[in-house]
Amino acid sequence: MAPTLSSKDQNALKNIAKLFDDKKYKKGLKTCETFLKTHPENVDALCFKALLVYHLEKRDEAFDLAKNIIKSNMSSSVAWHTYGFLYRSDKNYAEASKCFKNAHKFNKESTQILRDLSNIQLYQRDLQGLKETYTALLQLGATQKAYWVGLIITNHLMGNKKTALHVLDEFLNVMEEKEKTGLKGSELTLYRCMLLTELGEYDKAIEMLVKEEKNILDKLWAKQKHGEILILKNNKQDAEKIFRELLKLNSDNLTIHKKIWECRGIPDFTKDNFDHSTLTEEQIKFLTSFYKDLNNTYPKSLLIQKVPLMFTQDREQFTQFLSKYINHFLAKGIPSLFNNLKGLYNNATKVEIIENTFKATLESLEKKSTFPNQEEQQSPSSVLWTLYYLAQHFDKLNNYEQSLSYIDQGIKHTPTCLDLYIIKAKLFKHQGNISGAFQEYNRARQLDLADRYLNTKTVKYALRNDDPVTAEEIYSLIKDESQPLWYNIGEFQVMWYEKELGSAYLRAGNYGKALKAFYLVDKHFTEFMEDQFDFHNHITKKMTLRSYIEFLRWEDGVFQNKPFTDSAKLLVQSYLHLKNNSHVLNKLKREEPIVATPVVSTTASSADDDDEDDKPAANTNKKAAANKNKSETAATPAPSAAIPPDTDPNGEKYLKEENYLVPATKFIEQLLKFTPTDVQVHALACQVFLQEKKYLLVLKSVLKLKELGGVEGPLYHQYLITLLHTAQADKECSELILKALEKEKNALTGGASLAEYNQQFANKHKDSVPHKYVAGLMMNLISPADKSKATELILDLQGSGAHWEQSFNNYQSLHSAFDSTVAEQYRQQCEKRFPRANCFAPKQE
Amino acid sequence: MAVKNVELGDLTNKNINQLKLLNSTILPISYDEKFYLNLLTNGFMTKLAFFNDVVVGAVSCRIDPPSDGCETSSLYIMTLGVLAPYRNLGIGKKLIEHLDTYCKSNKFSKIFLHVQVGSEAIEWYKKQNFQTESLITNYYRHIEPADCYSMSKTITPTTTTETNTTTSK
Ligand SMILES: CC(C)(COP(=O)(O)OP(=O)(O)OC[C@H]1O[C@@H](n2cnc3c(N)ncnc32)[C@H](O)[C@@H]1OP(=O)(O)O)[C@@H](O)C(=O)NCCC(=O)NCCS
Repeated sequence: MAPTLSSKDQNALKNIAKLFDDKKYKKGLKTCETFLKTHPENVDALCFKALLVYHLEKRDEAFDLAKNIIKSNMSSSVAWHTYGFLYRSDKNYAEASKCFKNAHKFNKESTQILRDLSNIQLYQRDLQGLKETYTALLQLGATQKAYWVGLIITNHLMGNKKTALHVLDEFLNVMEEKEKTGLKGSELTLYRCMLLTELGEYDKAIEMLVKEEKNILDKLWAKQKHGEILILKNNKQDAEKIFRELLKLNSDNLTIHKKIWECRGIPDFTKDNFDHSTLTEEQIKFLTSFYKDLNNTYPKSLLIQKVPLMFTQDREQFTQFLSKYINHFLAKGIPSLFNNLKGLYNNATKVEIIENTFKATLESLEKKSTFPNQEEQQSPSSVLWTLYYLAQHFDKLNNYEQSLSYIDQGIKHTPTCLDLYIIKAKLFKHQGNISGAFQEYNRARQLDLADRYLNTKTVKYALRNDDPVTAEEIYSLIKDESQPLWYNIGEFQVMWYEKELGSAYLRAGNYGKALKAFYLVDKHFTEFMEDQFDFHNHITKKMTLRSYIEFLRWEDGVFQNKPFTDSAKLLVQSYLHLKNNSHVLNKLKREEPIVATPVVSTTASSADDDDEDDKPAANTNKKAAANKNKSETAATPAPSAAIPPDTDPNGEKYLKEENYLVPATKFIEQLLKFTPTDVQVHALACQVFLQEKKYLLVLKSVLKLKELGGVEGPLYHQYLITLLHTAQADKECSELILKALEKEKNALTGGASLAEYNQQFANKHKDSVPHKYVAGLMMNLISPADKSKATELILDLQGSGAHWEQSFNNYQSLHSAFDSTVAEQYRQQCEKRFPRANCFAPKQE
Repeated sequence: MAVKNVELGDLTNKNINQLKLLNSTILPISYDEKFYLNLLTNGFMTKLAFFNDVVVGAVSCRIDPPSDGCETSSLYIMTLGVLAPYRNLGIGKKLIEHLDTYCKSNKFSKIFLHVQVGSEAIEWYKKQNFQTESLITNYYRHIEPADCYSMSKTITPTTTTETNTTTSK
């Protein structure tokens, strides 16, 4: 134990602590070093020094210091706690957790250490450890609500719902009565109901809902829950009664409608691709009369008019419902009509009726300004919205000429209607005419410069049009002008910009900047994860445990979100292109100003707070420092003076990677974990693992491709054959794997040779473009002698399933998978097949 | 049909391109960039007519300060137009009514304009209580016929049957 300090020395230490808390690191370090001259062994001071040095951006030195302190003070809780802080700041949570545990070992009384530990354990979902930590915390201070809640939630997350309920009841026992009223009381009741339901204790849950009805504030939730529990209990009659009551409160709530269907055993027929012919006659009969009644009671509800369009099979009835529904939208000029009917397009009969109805409507409106068989005069804009619909209708049917003709009629009718240009842009985009799409968005944007949606869309399409310079110019009109682009998008988490910007660079072969952009998205998801750190204390104030559990469950799946998966896939692709030295297809439309990598020393920014600590002007610098250290402040932009210089404008640091497959593997593993049903992920996994010769992992993904896309799926075919071919040629491939592969192959081919099987595959799918492409690729791989036959297959773009975007990727692959002559021939074929897609136009040098 | 869903709005530097597009669709004369930039400055007045939030008509005027012949300011209509499908709904009338009210509350005495001979608008303006003042020959340089009428309407602040007169200034 260190000798006790004089009160003067104690004050000196307090002063250092204060300087540290105020983020006056330079001054703090000076004071600290002075103190250490007289007390070279003082652990507290040594620890402060390590922390101060870390925050002065001398990371390595700080870690050396901390290690040395531990060496001579192995059983110092403070030393371990400090070491843990450094790791935590470094985002190395595993090590931080170890250190905090050691700190606890040597100071069992400190709640601070345990709280720091609990935060990290929650972040890491180390639930077992978390449970122990909260138990220890409760033993230290049984009155702290936060610990009770922590223990309850932890047990809930672990699936120990019985224990969670038990702890909750104990907590309710020790809670003061007045704490259990109002919002808190209501929330605790509803949470208890959630737990009981998850435990299958339906009667108890209902009993409680009924008993506590007066005290529950979120009445809608409670009532809906009551109905849901009744469904779970299989008491569908009573459940239906409750949902019918709920319908009275909000007749436009689709969820409630679905619950009523569920009570009648009717599947959710609003799902994409639901086959409506699977509904039984009896079901349709119920629905018909149910919605007829509803329609009488709520004649204004659009949802109630829309649902019957989905289940009605009878031609005449459908036509009648449809006319009524669309007339409302057309008369009022509501643009969302197509979005509402989109779900009907998997039914050919309905599509035909829709087309005829709209054409008849247009004719009638143009002739007499009335809807068919009606007298009432309609406003001139109903013609416009009918044209607007027809354009989208024919775009959906991939009838470009008709769609364009209707949209142009619309523009002629009302050239100042901006929605028309948006539809025209979408039509162009579907055809691959990206520069056309950009121009239309830009036209609309120029007509209303105050419209942020149009500004955003135009920027997005400038990026898709390989034109980051124009994109930035337009984006600058809406962003804070003092902030450079990269700083702004990073600070405001503008993920769509990051993804599109990265993609443009990826196409142009500027991998440094591409990676730099995609890594920003990755960083934001880490930030989302870290949001959890702030949440716990907040929750215990309001006792909103239901939403807390839901939030934590959402966090568990945060990497399933599309912006992340998209960018992670693009990251993998970038690394594969780098590794394979892929052929670069596009050039940026406009040259970018060349930015040299600045030779700024990394300490330059920390020099800011040099000795200015006491001047008020230093405020902004402090904020900057705070921003660097606290991710939670990321959403508040720092004042312009504090914007740090971009030390790597071209993303060069990402190119310095020794082996590109290492980070690629890291992302692939994450993708496989969080989005295991995404075929693209498995296709990428096959590519990465093939390069790494991890054949078992390739096989795993190949089997998954079979599961997701069937034995006849082109991706399964492609990667199984590539795997077989590669593994057999690899002399170091283990017998075990070869055997497993042989088995899979025989099951598929029935003993035929790969070449034969591939030929059968080609014959079987001669009307499918993607299949022919893969068959051609594989033919060339298995039997290079058949190259000309393989080329023929690849260049044959007649048939179904061809899409310009996929073909564009193929075009790039062909440069390495085949040769540039075939690739060029392929481009020419694509140009014919997709005459409007910009990406197949011959490159002008 | 009555005028429903029509609202008047102001010209801004954000939506000025809609006015350009509207005028170039409706009017035979094309105006240059400078003309439009001027519209945003003092001394000019523009009103856009929105039908369900879409611009379908507009009037642009110049404010002529008092001069030798006239003791008060007057309004000179430079452009007026409604998109063809939206005509005869009272939108043009609504725009003129707005000008009337504007003149009244600002104590302007007159609204005047030039209109090409043979134009259907002449009858229309008459219906809005404008009177033909004189024929000016060779007024237009780039369009045929080149002659025009000068038309005007005197604003009398008190003797009005209008109901929606704004009295505040
Ligand atoms: C002139 C113009 C602005 C009128 O706009 P509008 O919105 O169609 O006119 P309104 O609907 O307000 O017409 C109001 C009344 O005039 C009548 N009217 C319309 N067109 C008319 C015409 N050509 N002759 C006589 N009366 C006419 C309407 O029937 C209506 O009568 P009501 O009040 O008894 O019902 C429009 O027709 C136009 O843009 N024309 C082309 C451009 C042009 O000529 N501009 C003027 C030169 S600067």
